[in-house]
Amino acid sequence: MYPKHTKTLLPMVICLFLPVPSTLFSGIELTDLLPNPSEYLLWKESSPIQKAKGEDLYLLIDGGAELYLEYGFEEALMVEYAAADNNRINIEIYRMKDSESAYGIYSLKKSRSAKRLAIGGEAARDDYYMNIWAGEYVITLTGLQQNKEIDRGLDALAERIAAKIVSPSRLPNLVKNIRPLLDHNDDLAYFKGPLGFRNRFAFPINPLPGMLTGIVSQSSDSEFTVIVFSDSAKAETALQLIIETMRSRSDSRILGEPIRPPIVVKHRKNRFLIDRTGSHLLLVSSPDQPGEKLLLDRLKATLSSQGTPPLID
Amino acid sequence: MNKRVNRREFLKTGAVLSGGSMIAGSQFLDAGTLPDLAVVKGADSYRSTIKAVEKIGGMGRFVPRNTKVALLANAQRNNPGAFTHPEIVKAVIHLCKEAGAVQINFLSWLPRSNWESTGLLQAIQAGGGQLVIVNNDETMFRPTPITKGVTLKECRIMNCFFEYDVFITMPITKDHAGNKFTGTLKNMMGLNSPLNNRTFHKPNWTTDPEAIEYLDQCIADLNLALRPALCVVDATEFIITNGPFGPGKLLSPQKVVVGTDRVAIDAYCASLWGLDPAAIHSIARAHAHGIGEIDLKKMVVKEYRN
Repeated sequence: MYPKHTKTLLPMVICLFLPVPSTLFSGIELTDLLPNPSEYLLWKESSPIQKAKGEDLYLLIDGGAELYLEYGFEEALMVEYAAADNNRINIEIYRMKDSESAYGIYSLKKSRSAKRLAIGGEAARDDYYMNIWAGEYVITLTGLQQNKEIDRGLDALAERIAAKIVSPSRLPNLVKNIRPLLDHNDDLAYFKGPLGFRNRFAFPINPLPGMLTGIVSQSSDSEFTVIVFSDSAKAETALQLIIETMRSRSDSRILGEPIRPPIVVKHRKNRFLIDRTGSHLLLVSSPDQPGEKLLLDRLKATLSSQGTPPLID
Repeated sequence: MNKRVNRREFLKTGAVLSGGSMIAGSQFLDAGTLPDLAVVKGADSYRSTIKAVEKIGGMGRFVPRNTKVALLANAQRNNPGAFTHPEIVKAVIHLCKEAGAVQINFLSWLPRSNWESTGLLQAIQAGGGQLVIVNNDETMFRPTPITKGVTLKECRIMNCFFEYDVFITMPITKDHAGNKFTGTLKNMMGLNSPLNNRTFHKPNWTTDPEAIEYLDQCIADLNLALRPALCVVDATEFIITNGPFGPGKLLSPQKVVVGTDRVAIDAYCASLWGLDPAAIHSIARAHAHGIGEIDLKKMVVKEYRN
């Protein structure tokens, strides 16, 4: 009935189409990303390498693991490198499930004042530490002292590690589309769940039922949040929930009649314009009220032009 | 086999743990004249700690002679501002010795490497204390009921903890990704088994709107089972972003905060970086449990310079 080798060949053919973890595909072990003495003599491993996969991350970074797990954590490595005069740098390498997830964690870890560098997909340098996003990896380097030797070490180690990552650094679609609206120095964080959201935005309802992803952007004169839902009905339900909640809280109130969006809400010291377009919920805040409305309109126009289904990554 | 603690034994342990401060206080000092929180600001963390404890009545008020002292410091990660300053640890060991403690032991289920890389092991050894590492095996933790717990009805405290007479907690205050803030209340998770700590997160924590507050409620509940005689908090330099692990933005108030009221101390520390204590669920829930006072206007907070 069937050709002779069907039973043997069929499973092999099926295997060709199964998803393969990216490190297996590229053959990269996390330790392969570390600079070794033959390529870089100034900084050398000075502690045992610690590793974790999946939920074992709790054992490696107790208390900090949930955030990584929310974004889709795969595996991590930690090690200390040392140079002369007892200068030390901690190296942490996290492999996330994809490049978009890695960008999310990176966007949350970098600070607003960090200096952006062209290393990997993007890098952000703070006083004594650096975060790098490259492909599905997030690398964090921390100087345990602050001096010029450490500064040079951070740059050199970052470049050497990032150079070994060949997989492409892909921005989440939502970020890619919103970015043109921002100034260069604006801070943008991409979240994939309630913890990331809560880290950047103190909102009384979190998580909003049905929320998938989103961004929080902060600049010197305005702040906006875009929350993506799986469909427009869920976004509308969330909008109504916000109105209900704001009405019932003693620290919040709705200014004007919430019949036609945008709704103006005061929560503690903050004032927001809240609106919905398709499956996106938008919250905009700025002391400049005409500017606030303008920003809301620009966001709505950008998001509407993307159409539905929403920009989910 | 795990041994369950019966009510009588639990109450006895609680009485012993809290007794250190009560007995000494009634014998030597009128606690009414002392501040609720003593805060000392200065670049020398060792001297700040000595002075803060002195201002709150001296270590003898909390550590009677010939007692065994259990200490809980934070050795989570050697990133700047993410672990208790070794000089504060040294100062507390010195004060405990001076008060006549016969054992000064730091308890931890974190690996020894954390204590080495943070410099805390060296500080403990130099000061004359000891580090006791407890294996993560669940049999090393004693199931302990929390009858008034709202969500956490049972915790699992290190078996060896019950061998001590006095308990001093020594966290560093800092940011926390899960609940925005960590201080004395959250530090107690360092005595609870890591496996039990994981139950503080609902299985569906990523989608359940109440999951974040569930974690904070568990922290408040856990604090019903544990009562430190004294809290010595490192607020010298700490991370206010990317906590609890760091690296993150550092704030350097250069303060050591000492007191017995965990809620008041956490409320004070949260206010150091502009957080509203009432908006930090763990602090608000612990206050609701009657563990301490959230309104700092009702507390005597005295600040000093060293």
